[in-house]
Amino acid sequence: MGEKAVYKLTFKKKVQVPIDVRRITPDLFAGKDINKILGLEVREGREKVKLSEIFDVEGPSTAPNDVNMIEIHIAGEDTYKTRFLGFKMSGGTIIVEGDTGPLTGYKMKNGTIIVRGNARSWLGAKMQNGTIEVFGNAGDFVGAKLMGEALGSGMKKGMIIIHGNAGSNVGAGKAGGSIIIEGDAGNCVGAYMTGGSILVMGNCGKFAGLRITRGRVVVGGKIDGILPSFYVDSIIPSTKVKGYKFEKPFVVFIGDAVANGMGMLQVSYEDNKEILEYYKKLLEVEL
Amino acid sequence: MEILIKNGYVFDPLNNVKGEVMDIGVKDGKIVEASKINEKEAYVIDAKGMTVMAGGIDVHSHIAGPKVNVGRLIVPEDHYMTNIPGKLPYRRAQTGKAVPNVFKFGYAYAEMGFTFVAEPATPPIKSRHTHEEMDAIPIIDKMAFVLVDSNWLALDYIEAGETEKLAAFFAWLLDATKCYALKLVDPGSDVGWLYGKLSLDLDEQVPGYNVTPRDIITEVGKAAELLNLPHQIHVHCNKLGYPGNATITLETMKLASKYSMLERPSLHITHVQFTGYMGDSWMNLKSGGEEIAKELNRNKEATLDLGQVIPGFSAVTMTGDAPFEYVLYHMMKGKWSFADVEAETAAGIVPYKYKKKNYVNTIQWVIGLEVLLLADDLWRVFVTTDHPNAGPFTAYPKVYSWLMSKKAREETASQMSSRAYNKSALPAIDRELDIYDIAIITRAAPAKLLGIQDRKGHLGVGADADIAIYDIDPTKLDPANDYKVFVKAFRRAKYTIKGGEIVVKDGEVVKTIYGSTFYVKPSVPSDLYDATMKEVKKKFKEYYSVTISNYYIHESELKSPIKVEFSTRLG
Repeated sequence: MGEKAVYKLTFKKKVQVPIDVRRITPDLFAGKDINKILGLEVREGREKVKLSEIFDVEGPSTAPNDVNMIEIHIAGEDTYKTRFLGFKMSGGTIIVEGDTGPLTGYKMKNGTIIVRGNARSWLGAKMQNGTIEVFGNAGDFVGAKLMGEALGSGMKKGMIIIHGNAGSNVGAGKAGGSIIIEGDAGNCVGAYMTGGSILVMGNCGKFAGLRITRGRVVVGGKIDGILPSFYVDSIIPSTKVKGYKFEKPFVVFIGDAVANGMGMLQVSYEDNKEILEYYKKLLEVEL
Repeated sequence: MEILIKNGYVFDPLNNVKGEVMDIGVKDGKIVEASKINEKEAYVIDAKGMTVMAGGIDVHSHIAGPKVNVGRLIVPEDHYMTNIPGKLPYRRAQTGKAVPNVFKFGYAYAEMGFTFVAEPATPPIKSRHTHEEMDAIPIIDKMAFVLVDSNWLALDYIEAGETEKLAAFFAWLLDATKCYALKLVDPGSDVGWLYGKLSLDLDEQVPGYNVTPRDIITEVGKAAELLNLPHQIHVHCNKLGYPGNATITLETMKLASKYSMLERPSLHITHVQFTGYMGDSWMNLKSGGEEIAKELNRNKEATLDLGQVIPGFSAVTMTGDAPFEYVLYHMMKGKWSFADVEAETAAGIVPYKYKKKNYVNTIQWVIGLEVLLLADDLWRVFVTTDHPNAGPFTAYPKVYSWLMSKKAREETASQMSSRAYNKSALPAIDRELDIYDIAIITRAAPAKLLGIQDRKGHLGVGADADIAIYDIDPTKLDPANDYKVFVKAFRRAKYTIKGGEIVVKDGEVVKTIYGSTFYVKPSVPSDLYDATMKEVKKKFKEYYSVTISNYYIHESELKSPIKVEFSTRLG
């Protein structure tokens, strides 16, 4: 393995409208010389413009053929104006030195996206594989399917790590892979999920595990309520999700009964004594 | 605007023109003799080596109405990647594939050379919505059929056996809702659905009324004949979507001879593919296409359209047959919407996808093709996909290619369930239609079926100037082999002329105009009419939450209405 080819994209000007950057991917950079890369199409609002009209590009004159050897840095104040960053990318790395807009990593096939700031909604929606890491917060519908699509057409495989908080509907319609949120999450965590796992280390809102049929939702902090369609199963002394270990008791629920589901919802006992006391009595166990 | 179409190969079955090289003149929205056009001033289209036909007519396609709108809402995924930006001032933005927006309906039909579409099911009380929506559809002419099979007032008359009053009531209803023909959807079952019954057999009693679906079809049919309606009753058969329902369809087709009074056929069976299943469960489902085609050849009173399944496309099943949609929802476990049960009909909507390798879906695909290819009389069988139930209307050229080319059928069949295909009669059928036959089933026959053959569906002098020109040389192209070329040409017409204006050029919409809406007003003897209306008004106060004057749609509410008036056999 040789050195990675690093391309640095910085904003030339202030962008007033959303820009569709679905062509800025290692796949479309691979094997092209710098002039061709500068000529890639970017949509600024409804106008089709060249990449060079919006970004200054610094990097080697010819990109390697192997996508995994390409690293794209995007920096500037307006990185949050982007849409579809890393669309269908199949390898390589994209690093955003700031916030990103909606649909980052949409349908991504492999590779890595790192966001130093916050990410907006639909982060990693319908992603097939790969890794996304966000150092700030993320919006709604992380790793989700689009509205109206069949169950399980959300995220298939791979990993999304969010070091901050996330919005609602995290992993909605997800079929596999894992989402780790180190902060808090909103309502409906893992709604309509058919597989994979979601870990919320902080607190989360209502309706966690809404209509899940398979998979696992773990809540390490406070929860606003347990859906009445979940059966309590047991209390376990500790749990482990993708290398994250928790040495505290968790109450395990099975559901969602509305969807004849066999999904698992694990909720920290000590953080939610008021809600979970009732279930503990049903189980007739002593901790 | 004057237009002269020169040297095209003209196919005009209503005037017995079979691929002759002819010139056609267009003046003031009508077809005139070519010699009357001043070639220097007119817009001249050189159609040398091209096929010229009248504008296409679709007899059954759900293009407007409350359930179409709910269908749009239920499939947002249909609208994510199908957006086509508008090009103002002559083209509005389009979206959707399975259930497009209003603009795309008009444009996509025009791009295929179609200029007339019938919306086949509108609940009477919501037909105002249907008309608003149809008024927004550009280019094409349209008409709507009103649902009457579960209408309480009609059922009262059927139960009492007062056919003349029933006919007078229908005459008022057609005028009040500005509709063109009577539609029966799974007769009687929407009343049954109110009581929680799933579907009615032909001889099962309708709950709350002492009638059976058989009585409803005969009495409504008789009323339509008494009224001299240009289009016969449009029937969606009982037990649609259940295995073994082909026997009911055959029984229903035989009913036509019981009440037939007019020269035209007396019963139209719609989307026959959904009601042509033999066998007693989904596991041993068989095609009933052969039996239905035999009955069609024997029974001159019946016509039918296919509801041809398009495998591999997402569809949205939407019908007035709510009980069946409820059953389908429990098979699919996806999305379901249901409405209108308070409006004397009932609509159900379930998104569905016809899979290529699926045994049942392959049988469904086979039935439609079997029926058409085994039919002797092409004037009584029509190609539809029952859009959007069995597939999008944009796939019509593909259906034509299956009819015109055994090679095309075999190629599609090779991707489908071979177990189902080999069991059917389709591999043994060698019939291949030609372009003239396609002109019959898409232009001439539908115009005749809808009773508009005096002004639509042909290119004779005096007809409306609705013309489609396709870039096909019928003397050179052999569609049996080069079906792909044929499909490509029919998908995008070289020119479409609607009402004397060029609306499509090289497969692109170049102008947005708006068509007309056809409706009927039969003239009923005044004493019978007054006696009926007295009863109707009384019951209206009893049954409805709206007044009869608000129920009635005035002509001024329609953008461009065309009234079809005629005398009846009443009194």
